[in-house]
Amino acid sequence: MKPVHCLAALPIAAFYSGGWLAEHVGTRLAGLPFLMTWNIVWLLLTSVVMVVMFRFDGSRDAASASAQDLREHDGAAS
Amino acid sequence: MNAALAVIAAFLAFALFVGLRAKRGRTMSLEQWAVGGRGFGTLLVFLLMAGEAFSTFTFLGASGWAYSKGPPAFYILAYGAIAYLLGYWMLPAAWRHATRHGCVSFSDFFATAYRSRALGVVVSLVAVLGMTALLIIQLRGLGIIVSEASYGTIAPSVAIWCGAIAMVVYITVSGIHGSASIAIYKDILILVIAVFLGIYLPLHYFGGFGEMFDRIEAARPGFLHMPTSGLTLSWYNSTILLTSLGYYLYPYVFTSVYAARSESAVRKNTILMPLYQMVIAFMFFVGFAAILQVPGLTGADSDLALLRIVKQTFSPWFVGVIGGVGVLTALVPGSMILLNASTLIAKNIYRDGFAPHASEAFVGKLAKRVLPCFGLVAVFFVLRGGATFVALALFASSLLTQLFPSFVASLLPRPFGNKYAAFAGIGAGAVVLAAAVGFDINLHTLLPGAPDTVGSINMGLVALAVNGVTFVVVSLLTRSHNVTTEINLGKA
Repeated sequence: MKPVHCLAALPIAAFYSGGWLAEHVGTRLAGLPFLMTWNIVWLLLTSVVMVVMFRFDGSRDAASASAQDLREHDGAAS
Repeated sequence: MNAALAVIAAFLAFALFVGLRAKRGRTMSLEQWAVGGRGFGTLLVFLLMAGEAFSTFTFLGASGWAYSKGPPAFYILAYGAIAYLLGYWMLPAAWRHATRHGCVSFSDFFATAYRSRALGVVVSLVAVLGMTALLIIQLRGLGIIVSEASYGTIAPSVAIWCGAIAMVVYITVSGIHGSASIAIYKDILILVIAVFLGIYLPLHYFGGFGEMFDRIEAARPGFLHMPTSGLTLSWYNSTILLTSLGYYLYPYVFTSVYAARSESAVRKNTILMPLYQMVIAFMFFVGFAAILQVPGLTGADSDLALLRIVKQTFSPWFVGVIGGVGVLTALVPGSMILLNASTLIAKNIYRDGFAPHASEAFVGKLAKRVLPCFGLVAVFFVLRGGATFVALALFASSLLTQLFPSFVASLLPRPFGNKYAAFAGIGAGAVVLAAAVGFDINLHTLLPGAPDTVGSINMGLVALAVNGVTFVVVSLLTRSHNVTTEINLGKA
C-alpha cells in the first residue's frame, strides 16, 4: 500500500454515507432522487480515483509484464 | 409485427456469424479455447467483462427494480463501483497467480492456491450447479425478451431453443473468442440503446427528469424514500457489501481475468468499468418512466416494464432492435457460462476427481462434448420447471460468494490459511445460508427484540461473516499446515 491508495477510502465512505444522507439531508438532488445523483457522481469519481492511483502508484510503469514473461521467468506452468 | 420478428432473427444470425468467424484459423488448444491463450488486451478484457456483467438481468431487472422498488435499486450503482475498487488490487494478484499456475478454470485457482485437488472438486461442483442457475436465468430472460419484442409471434420456448443452439455452436467452434467478438457489438449497442431510452422516454412523456420525479412523487407519495421495513437502509448497505465482495466470484467473470495479456490490462479494466456502470443509471430512468406510463405490473411482471413502455412508444422495427440487443445480452454471458461449466466438468471434476492421467488434449475434447449436454440440461430445466433442482442451483449460485474469504486470503502478500480453513469456512457459510433459505431464518427471527436496522441485514452477509470467522479460527488452530505459496501483491 502506498499513501496515494488512501484515496480509495473516499468512494467507499461516500457510498456508505449516501443512504443516510438521503434520509437526513434531502430527498432530491439536481432533480433526481438524492441517492441516485449521489451514486452516479461517485461512480464517476471512483474511476477518477483509480486513474489517480494508477498514475501515481507506479503500476503504470511496473505492471506491463506479459503473461509470457511471467511464465518464462518462473518456468512454471503446471 | 413481422418487422420486429425479422430484425430479431437478423440479430441472432449476425451473432452466430460473428461468433463462428472469431475462430479465424486458430488451433483450439484448451488454453486457447477457454482463456484465449492469455492474449487479450485492456479493451478486449473490458468488453468481455462488461458483456458478462450486463446480462439479461440488467436489461430486464435494473429497470424492473426501479419500477417496482424505487431507491433500494440504487444499490446496483454502488456495489459495482466498490467491487471495481477492490478489483484494483485483487485482480492483478489473481491474474499473477492464475498465469503462474496455468489456471484455465475457476476452481483451478482454489486447487492451486490451497494445494488441494479435493477443494478444487468441491468448488467445481458448487460452481457448475450455480452456473446452471445462472444459465437458466439467462435463457428465461431471452425467452421473455424475444416473445415480448416479437409481439408474441415467437413463443419463449422457440426463442430459448434457438438462442441455446446458437450459443453452443459458436462457443464450441471459437471458444472465448466467439463470446468476446459478440461482446464488442453487444456492449456498444446496449450503451447506445440505454442512453437513448433513458433520455428520450423521460423527455417524451414528462418533459424532463425533474418533472418525471415530481409526478412520481405526487402519484406515489413516499415512493422515492428508502422503505422503513423490508428493503431498508440496512438491507441496502449490507447488500452493497455482500454483492461487491462476491462480484468477481462468478466463475465466468473470474476466468475472464485469465484471458488478459498483462497485469496492467486487468488493472485498467477496473478503472474503466465504473464508467460503463452508468448504463444502469439510464436503465433506471426507463424504469421510472414506466411507473406512470405502464402501471400495474406487479411481482415478476415488473421485469417487463422496459419492454412494455418501448412497445407502447415505438414502431415494431425499433422494438425488434431492442429485442435483438436483448438476445445479445443473453448470448454473451450465457455462452461464457457454457464454456466455463464444461471446462470445469471436464478438467476439474472428471480429471481431478476420477482420471488424474487424462491428457490435456483429451480434456479439451471432452469439454467440447460436455458443452452441448450442459446446454441441454439448462434448456430442459427452463422449459420443464423442476422447482427443486432450480432452487438447489440458485442456492449454489449464492454459495459462490462464500468463496470470498478463501479467495482473498490466498492473495495476501503473506498468504494466510490452509485447505482445512477453506473447507470449514465455506461449510459454515453454507450451513447459515441453508438455514436462511430453507427455514426462512433471518435476523428478525433470531433476535426478536432487535431493531429493524439489525433485523433487515442481508443474511448472505451474516453467512459470510460466520464463514470469515471460521476461516480465521481454523487457520490459527491448524497453523502448521498453512500454505506459503509464492503469491504476493507485488508492488501494489
